[in-house]
Amino acid sequence: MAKIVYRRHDRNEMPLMPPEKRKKTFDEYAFGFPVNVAIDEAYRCILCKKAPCIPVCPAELDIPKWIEQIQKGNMFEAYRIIREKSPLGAVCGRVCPQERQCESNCVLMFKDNGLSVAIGALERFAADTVRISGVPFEEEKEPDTGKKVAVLGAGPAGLSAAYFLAKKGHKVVIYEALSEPGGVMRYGIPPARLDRKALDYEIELIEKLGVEIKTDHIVGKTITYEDLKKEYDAIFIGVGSGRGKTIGVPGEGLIGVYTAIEFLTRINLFEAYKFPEGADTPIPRNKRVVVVGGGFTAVDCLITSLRLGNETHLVYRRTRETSSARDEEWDHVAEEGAILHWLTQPIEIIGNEKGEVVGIKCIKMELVPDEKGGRPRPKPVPNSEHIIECDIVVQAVGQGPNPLAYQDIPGLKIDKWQNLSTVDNKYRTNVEGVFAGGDVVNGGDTVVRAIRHGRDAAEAIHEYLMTGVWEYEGEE
Amino acid sequence: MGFPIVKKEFLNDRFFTIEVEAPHVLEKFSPGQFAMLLPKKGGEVIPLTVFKYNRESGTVTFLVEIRGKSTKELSVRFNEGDEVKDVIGPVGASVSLKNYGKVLLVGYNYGNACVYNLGKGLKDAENEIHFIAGFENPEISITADIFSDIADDIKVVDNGIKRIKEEVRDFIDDNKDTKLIVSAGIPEFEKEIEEVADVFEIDHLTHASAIMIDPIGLAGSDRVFVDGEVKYASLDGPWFDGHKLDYDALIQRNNIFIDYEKEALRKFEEELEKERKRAKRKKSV
Repeated sequence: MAKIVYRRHDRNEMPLMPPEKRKKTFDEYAFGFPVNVAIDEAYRCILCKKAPCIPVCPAELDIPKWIEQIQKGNMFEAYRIIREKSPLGAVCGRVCPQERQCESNCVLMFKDNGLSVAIGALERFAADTVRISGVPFEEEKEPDTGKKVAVLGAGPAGLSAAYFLAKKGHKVVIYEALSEPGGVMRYGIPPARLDRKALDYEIELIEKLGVEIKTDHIVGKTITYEDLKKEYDAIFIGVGSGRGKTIGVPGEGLIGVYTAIEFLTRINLFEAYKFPEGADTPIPRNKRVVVVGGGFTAVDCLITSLRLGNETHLVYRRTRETSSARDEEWDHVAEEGAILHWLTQPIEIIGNEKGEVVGIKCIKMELVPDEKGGRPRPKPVPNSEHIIECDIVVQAVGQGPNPLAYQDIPGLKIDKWQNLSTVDNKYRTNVEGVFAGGDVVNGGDTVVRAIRHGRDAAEAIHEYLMTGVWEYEGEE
Repeated sequence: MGFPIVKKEFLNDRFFTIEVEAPHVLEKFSPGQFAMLLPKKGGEVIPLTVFKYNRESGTVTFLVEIRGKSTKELSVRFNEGDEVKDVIGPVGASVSLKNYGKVLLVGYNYGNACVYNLGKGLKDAENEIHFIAGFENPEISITADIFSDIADDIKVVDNGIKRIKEEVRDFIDDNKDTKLIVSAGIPEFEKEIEEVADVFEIDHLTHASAIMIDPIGLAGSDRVFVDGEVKYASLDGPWFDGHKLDYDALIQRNNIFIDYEKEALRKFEEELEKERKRAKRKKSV
């Protein structure tokens, strides 16, 4: 067989819909690689023996191993290898901040012209190819163990845990309060970034392994911990941290003030962008919108707002460089017409006599070094107050916990934020048989981190189910 | 996989009842709680109080008032044998009810079903229950029969909020030993009832109908202000202390989407009109 020759050429980028066009549609704006480009890009990977990309991937995918399969044209095998570590490859290929994870540590960054392999785009390519081929994707699972596990929440952590548990031969039932599974991938991330067909497909594959998803079931209301305890041998809590926080300035009660979660849920879960013909949930259009925040959620709100025909602003108290969203995404929204106000802190939302938002009062900030050596701190610039006129304010300033699903578990230890950071290194809570992972543990992180939690927790749950040994190693 | 409609019955042009198979809602249901209906994909969440139910057959009956597009569509497009896409529940906090003695339930339009829901729990706690079933006008008034099984006496008042308020005042005047007023309807109405409860210093439980899109207070669209604090109607409510609920804030929030709701209803009615004309033409051919 001919030896694979490493070809020096530039990184391939996914083609994008032009900004003018993409801001008019909720369809995905990044087109995936065509097959020739994917294979071409895959050949840029030099298949490192000790690949530095692997340890910086939160899910530790065997990246060179599946890229090698793409080189050979074995997309099914590539996808199978991805799924050894993550059942949501099509999602991660789209929404992971790869330039801070796998792609940040690619050898080509240091050896070649500084351009890493487009790992994310390739991951997406492998998953999409399998889906679009229409050929049934079969996965094996171990024989039935007779054990039952309840998973609370059908988001990335819960789906991942369910997948790996089902593969081990356990019976898994997921309880989800909303009407559709997917968690933040359903109600949060806009379809412009994550095609729902890709998400639906990967959820279907999990169901194909025998995982049952009970939507419309609110744990704590429809079914309680006591019921679950009787029916299941173990419980995994993966309910995320999905309650929208508010900025904490005067005027938050005004008409036109939304939490990011409400704004996004209306559009992404209830398809309000089709209102009134195709959907019954309304959302204002063609208005002036100010999004407050600097993370992924803020970007998602901007993407969404722009597509509704709104004049869209962002205010963030720090700089673009110190924000937690990706550089590329700021470029994308700016191309689409978003007006980005850096170093700007909202101090008051202003309303009219009818209680409607008419503007947001802000103050300019400057970054000063932190005395304690932390990241530079924003400090208000005196006499720099100004008003941005708007009709809608969307608060994308982080999420808080929603302990409804676990507040009735007797003796369960929660931290002061009502999260479950109290789990030990095997994702065990202090209550026997109860595990937790994802955002409910770490308070708000990436999809891929939640997938990793789910996988590791599944392993710990499997060990517990098979041995019965329970030794909580957290602080009592 | 949806939830089958077992029975649908029109009471008049404004109200109908719809019985749906949703046993999961009933397993843990307790008075005060409600459910959310999502009729179809692309539909809108409709929060509805659990009106009547049968634990054996696992069916829940909702009383629906035709107010906007979604309820209108439910009334004309969904029939016995059809399915609604989702029934989520039970939602809301259960209200711990005790024996107060003499209790007055007062509802307005759809709110009658809400006070009925809570009234059932009060009845089980052996309270003496008086029910004023209030309606906007005689055309949409429902006979008292469907509410009367929980009440010791029931009176229908069908000429608007002002008259209902007077009726409540008269009742309290005659029954100074009333220990609790339970009201539900629209916040404009509940605010009026609170005035009476306040004057006579009687405990008041009231129902906050807020805009809801999820059942767990996730989105916060259902935030209400109680004693200056933010509460979520889907999580901490829908029943709150009537002396402490900020009615004006609720009225303001409930009007957020009013123009959109009107537009959606208008479009839907146009669509129905077209269908009627088409059907007529077919007939005449």
